[in-house]
Amino acid sequence: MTNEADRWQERLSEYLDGELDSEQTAALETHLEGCAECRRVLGELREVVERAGRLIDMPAAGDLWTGIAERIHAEGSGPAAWPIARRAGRTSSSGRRQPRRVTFSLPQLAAAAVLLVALSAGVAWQAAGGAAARRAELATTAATGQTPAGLLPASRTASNDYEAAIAQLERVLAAGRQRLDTATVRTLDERLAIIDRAIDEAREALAADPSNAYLNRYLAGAIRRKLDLLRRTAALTEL
Amino acid sequence: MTATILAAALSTLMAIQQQTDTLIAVPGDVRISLTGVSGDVAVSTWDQNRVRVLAEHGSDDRVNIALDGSELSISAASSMGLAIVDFELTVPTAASLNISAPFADVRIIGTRGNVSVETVEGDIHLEGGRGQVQLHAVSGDVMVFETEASLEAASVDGDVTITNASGTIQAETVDGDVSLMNAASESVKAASVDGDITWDGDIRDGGRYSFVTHDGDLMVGVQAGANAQVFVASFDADFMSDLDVELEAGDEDAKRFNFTLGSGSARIELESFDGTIRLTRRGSL
Repeated sequence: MTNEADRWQERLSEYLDGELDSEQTAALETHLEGCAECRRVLGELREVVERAGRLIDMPAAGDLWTGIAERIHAEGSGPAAWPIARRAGRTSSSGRRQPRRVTFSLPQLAAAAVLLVALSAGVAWQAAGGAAARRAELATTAATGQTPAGLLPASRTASNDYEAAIAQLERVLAAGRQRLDTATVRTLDERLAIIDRAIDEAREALAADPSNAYLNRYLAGAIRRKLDLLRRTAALTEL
Repeated sequence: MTATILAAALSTLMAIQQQTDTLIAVPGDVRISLTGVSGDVAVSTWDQNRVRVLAEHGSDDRVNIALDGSELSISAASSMGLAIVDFELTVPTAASLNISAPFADVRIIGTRGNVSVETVEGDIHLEGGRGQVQLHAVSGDVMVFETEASLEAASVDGDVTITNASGTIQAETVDGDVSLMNAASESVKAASVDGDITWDGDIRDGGRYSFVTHDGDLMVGVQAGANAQVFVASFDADFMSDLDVELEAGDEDAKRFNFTLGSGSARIELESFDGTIRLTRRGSL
């Protein structure tokens, strides 16, 4: 990457926010015309912001995004942080939607993409999960004092968030798997192992190339698949 | 559970086979739910506001049918445990169907209503369907033809095959192939973890098409004159194109690059972690 690209990439989130003046905007747009790498990063920034917007717009108990955004903002207050204004924010007491700012550093941007996808699955699970899953989840909460996946306290790290969601679903499944046919359980276990292998391979590749946005997004997708399969499996115990 | 099913099956075979054959007057837009079925399910349609329920079952099994307004509920029960019943339903063309059949092959032909089917061990075959169509199998193939709907088709251990579909398409399997042939859609998402994905259809201006696999190959056939930005990403996949493409960002060694076909109106995402990505002309797959 050139120094020029480096310099402009630090301004991309301001560009998305509309916070550059007209001269800076024109200069950046000129640079974008000739810099494929900056266009790619800009596209990825837009994708994460769009995804965050979709999550914000989903009705979820406890306003999931508030805790996530505050945590990311708090963790991203270092010098490399990129501000991204998000205008699909909360509704104020006057009933008007207020702009909200979310701050990402580049590694946090990738982590946020993973977290958003994982949490989207978590919200969907809460909305669509079977009664048994919900009962088991409530029982787990009562027994362990742990919060359900959709009501994540801001103190947890992003990584722990989706690991906890997976662990919680695995507990639900363990409680209900005796109601499934042994062949079905074997099928599900084997396919979960396939997904786990994909997750492991993505993690291994990511360890060697942590800033690779594709690998981050790919890992997020693999985790979402695992969450989705666990959610569906838990619901199967109701059939 | 398997032992229970076998015992129930043997018991049913030993019992005298019975047939339930009932006609029920219903509204044309009736919502039909068929739940807890083990056996085969076949649904066809007719231009009558009546539902015919034909069920083959053992003498220990009973078929329960209840109509409440526009909701028709059908289920089976057995004094011996699991009821094994083969159902043949004939329903109004516009009826909505909600079928939960743990151990059954489900075949639906001709419906123009919403369709929701969930099986654990069994194939799902649908011809038709409008509005919302959701088909989920654990161990079984999902086959969809001529649907005009917002379609969600998923299997855990099986192939997903969609032919001549229009409307939004989401197709996903863990261990199987996804095949989308002659689709007319502006929004397509297809994913497999351990299987191939094949697309042979028109790319529409402004549409979004996402094809993602982990260990499989992507084979994507697009029409001549397609207008799309194509984004290719992989960890260790090979990319082959039968089309003349000029890379705009990154390069093939970097495994992430994009290029434009025509005006670039649509967006196509091709991602394979560790397979082969092949872009070609429609009709050559």
